[in-house]
Amino acid sequence: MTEKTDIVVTLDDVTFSWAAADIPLFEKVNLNFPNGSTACLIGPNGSGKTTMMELILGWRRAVSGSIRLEGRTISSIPSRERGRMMALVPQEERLPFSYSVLEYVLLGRAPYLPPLAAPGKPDRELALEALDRVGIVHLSHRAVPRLSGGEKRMVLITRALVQEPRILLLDEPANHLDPANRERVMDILDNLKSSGITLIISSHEPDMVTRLADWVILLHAGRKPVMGSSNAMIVPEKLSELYGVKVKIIEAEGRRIILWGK
Amino acid sequence: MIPIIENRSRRVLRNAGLAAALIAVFTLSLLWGRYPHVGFTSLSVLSTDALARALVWNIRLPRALIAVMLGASLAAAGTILQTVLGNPLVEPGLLGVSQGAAFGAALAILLAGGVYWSIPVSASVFGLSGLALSWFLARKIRYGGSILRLVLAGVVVSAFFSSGLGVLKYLADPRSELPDITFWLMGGLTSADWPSVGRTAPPVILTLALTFLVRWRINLLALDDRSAFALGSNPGRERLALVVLSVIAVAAVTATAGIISWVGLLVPHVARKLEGADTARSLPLSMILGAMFVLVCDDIARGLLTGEIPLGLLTALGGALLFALLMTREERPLKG
Repeated sequence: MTEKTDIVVTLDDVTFSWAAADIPLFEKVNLNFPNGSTACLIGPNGSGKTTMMELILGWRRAVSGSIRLEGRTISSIPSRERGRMMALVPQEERLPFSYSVLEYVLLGRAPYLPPLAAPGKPDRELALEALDRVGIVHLSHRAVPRLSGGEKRMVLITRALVQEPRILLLDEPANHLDPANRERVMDILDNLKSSGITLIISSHEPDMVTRLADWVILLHAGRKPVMGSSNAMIVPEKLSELYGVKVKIIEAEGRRIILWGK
Repeated sequence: MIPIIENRSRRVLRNAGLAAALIAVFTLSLLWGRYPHVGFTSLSVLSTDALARALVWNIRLPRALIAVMLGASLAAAGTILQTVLGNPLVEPGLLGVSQGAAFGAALAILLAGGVYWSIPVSASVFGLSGLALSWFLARKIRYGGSILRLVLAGVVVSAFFSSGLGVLKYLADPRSELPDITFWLMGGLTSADWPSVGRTAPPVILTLALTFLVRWRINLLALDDRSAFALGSNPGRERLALVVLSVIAVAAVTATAGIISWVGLLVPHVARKLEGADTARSLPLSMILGAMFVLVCDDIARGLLTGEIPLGLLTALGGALLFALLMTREERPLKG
């Protein structure tokens, strides 16, 4: 057996570049994401956090190397089955039409429905239940384009939950949110974490990392990603090297707080 | 809790009402005309007058059938193209199809003047090649996302065919061929007969039935490609399939009716206003409304004056007015 069953996502010698002639963004990267763990990708702008997510999603193809989900090469998994395994919460999404929140969230059932079917009553109940869990059931009949940024993010998270994935990718889930909404997202993620889903989160906010992550992956532009436990990675030397600014970490009320700059 | 059931039964009622309205408009269209005198032909006239019966059977019925197919196809294609290209201003005329078909029809009028089947065949071939050229060109464009590329390519191909059409008009005999070309470009159902119903119905019924069956899944393509992919779809392949289906339906009706504008732009907007964006509901509604709109416009086209008014002029006039009305009205809050 080449694959340990407790590893759900494996990157094996993955190399990726935007064009054949370019210097690779990732070169021979090896990473393993344990089942049920929470991993955070951190790094400065342009270090490839979103690209790394898109590679794991299968949306971008690696130039060489292989990416495996539960031991199977990603490109060999049929689309609908892949949609049942893994969901993505993007930062934002183009939406030219006035879908209601419920209609929008129901799109998350697509991987479970045959091509000619529409969501039925059980799907609707599941969607309403998920909306309730995220605390936005009162928005069910509002038009998505008219929601605030924070509400839209909650809707995207709910749609991913309705997909009932075993692996959930979240791209900067707390970006541009006010403190109250950020706390709500943190609570939701905390609940998901305890429910046993594998979470892969990209984040600019080391605060989210220190509270949630079991594993941290540091992405330096043009260098090999480094993966380690949260305690080993969230230390002043590593962070200041990663972002190129001075970093100090203090503890207050049982939480580690990162101070940037002088 | 949200009263889903109540909304559902209300929706079923409304759809049944709309279908009944379409049947009523269709039946009245068969009775409406200028023989034996202007107005609705009474049933007693039909039972005594053999000419009136022949008129209804051989002229009004095939014409109404083509009008229904024309309206449903243009509206369905509009809904699908707007959704899968993520642009509410797209209509079937985009992507080079209409201009290609117009060029093809003009070419047939010039080269094969009298042969009746040459116009629909040539219009279909050039309409579909307009799409193929747009698609091919879009793959070569190195700018923007996949949807922008396709729209840009459609603009280029349309311009190419419309300049070709200009050349053909310049070459055409101004006494015989040019009026034929101009009349065809304005669109109309004067040539509708049973053979044209036979030609149009199979591709239209097939493509509309297929799009009807996948009507919910079309929603996925309104999202970013990456999000659609994450939801377990194959956005590139599914979008291509839906675009091709819509264009086949449009080419089939355009071959008989000429260029009918505004239906594909206006009707999907009305349907979305009434039923929301979900294509599971807005696509069937769009088909019914499109059929009714074109039926009524054609009734006016053939019955209002002693001469025939080009149908394309009426749909453009009515469509533009309704569109302006719709866009300036206050939007109602969304309901389930």
